[in-house]
Amino acid sequence: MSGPLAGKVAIVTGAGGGIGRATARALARSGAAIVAVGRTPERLEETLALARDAAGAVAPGFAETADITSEDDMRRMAERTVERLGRIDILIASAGILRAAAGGPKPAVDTPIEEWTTVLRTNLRGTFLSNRAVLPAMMRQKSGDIVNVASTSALKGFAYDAAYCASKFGILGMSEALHEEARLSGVRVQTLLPGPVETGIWEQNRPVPPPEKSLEVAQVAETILYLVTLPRDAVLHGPVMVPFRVHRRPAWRAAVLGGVAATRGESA
Amino acid sequence: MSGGAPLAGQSAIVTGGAGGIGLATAQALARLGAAVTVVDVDADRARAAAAEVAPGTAALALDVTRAADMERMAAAVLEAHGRIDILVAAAGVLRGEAGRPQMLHETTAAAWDRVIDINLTGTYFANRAVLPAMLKAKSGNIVNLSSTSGKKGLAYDAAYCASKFGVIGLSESLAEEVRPQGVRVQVVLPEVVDTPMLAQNGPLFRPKEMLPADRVAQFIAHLVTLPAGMVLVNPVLGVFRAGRRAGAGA
Repeated sequence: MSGPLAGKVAIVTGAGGGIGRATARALARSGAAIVAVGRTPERLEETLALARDAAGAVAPGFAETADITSEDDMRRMAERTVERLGRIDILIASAGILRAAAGGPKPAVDTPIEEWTTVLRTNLRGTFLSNRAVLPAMMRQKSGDIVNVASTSALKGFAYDAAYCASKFGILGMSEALHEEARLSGVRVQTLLPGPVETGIWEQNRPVPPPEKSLEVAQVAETILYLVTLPRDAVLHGPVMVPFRVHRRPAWRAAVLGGVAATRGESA
Repeated sequence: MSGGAPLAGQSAIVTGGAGGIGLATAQALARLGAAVTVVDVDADRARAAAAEVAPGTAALALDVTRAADMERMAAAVLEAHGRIDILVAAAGVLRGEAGRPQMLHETTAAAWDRVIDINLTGTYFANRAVLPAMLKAKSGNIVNLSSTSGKKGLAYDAAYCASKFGVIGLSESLAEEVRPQGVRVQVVLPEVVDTPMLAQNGPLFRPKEMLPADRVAQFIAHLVTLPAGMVLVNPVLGVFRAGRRAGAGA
């Protein structure tokens, strides 16, 4: 196996689809062995097959059926990875949910406590548990790369998304704290803050339609690959990635700037 | 991973291209196949840098603080290459006058003006000059250089911090404005970088750990080669201080 990640072992949570699946493929293409973590075994096997196709070789790796909200599952995930592959070089914590219950966005005042608890337990506590599980191995190795997937909702709250925003702000806070702590052991913790991404997560928003313009999962995956292959003397702090929208102009623009734009177009 | 030259056929301008991040960026873009024009206020240094970058690299001795110079820059590159695909506005200074860092009340208005003129107004003039060509082409990549000092003020660095906060404001505003026409404006916030600019601090305040200029250059090259559908917003490129306790020096 060749590539910048040859010989490296990468755990990807939320690997059954979306950003996790695309990232597993990108890391495998760069030579890493993939531990695909998620709740649905069939989906994990699909991801592994895609990763092997991307690698163009029979890369070592396995599917680990686990629930990120379970401390035992996360501990077992790390133990099995070290048993079977000898080390843990990379963790991509991409498992996450937008809402716990059907029915679409709700004002905070109408949000059942169960909804709040499930979103926080999955996104924030789950990220904490996966990070915590891999750290002993990475600290022993005195090297490692963790990328936690937050969101632009980690920087700015959005109406009807209180639990999701709170969980993503929390991931950023936890990751910044852990970055300061884990760097002493040579472990680099970075947090990616994507805007809307084309994934199945939007089904949880029904009946509200998905955003008009979203990032492709492959773009997010390539950015995560960039983060874990950055030279070891550098770190990107909470990079924000959003769609670059080349699209219609605001309605008022023609009225205000139309003459100027037209003149420029003719003379240029 | 990729085999070809991703910037083949593209024309790139780097202001402040004779040293530090600018020179390293000119080299990185040239390695990716771009035809680079190095712009620096010092003619000899511009020529020397261009010779170092790649055969055929053009050098222009122009001053970013003069709007007319920046317009000449755009005109000269358009005449030579017929297009401007990339602008990296890397010209910058740390202090307006020689000497050690000073308290705000001790700094002269002239020193303040010089820092703002080069770092902020110079970035504006350079951006402004290349935009007509990019808007006409309905494509283009601009990368402006801010700093972690563009997010948080540091003692004894008021003018520099003000200029770098300003570069972010300018860049965010411009990014929103020209996005509909396909021009992508991004701004980089590096932490301390090992460049000749730091010498303006005198022998004091030389950090032990710094990013190599090439690290920033590689990142800028990444920004201008991102897929068309995405943009990185105000990325902060920091030093990864593995194994160092805060304040322990080392």
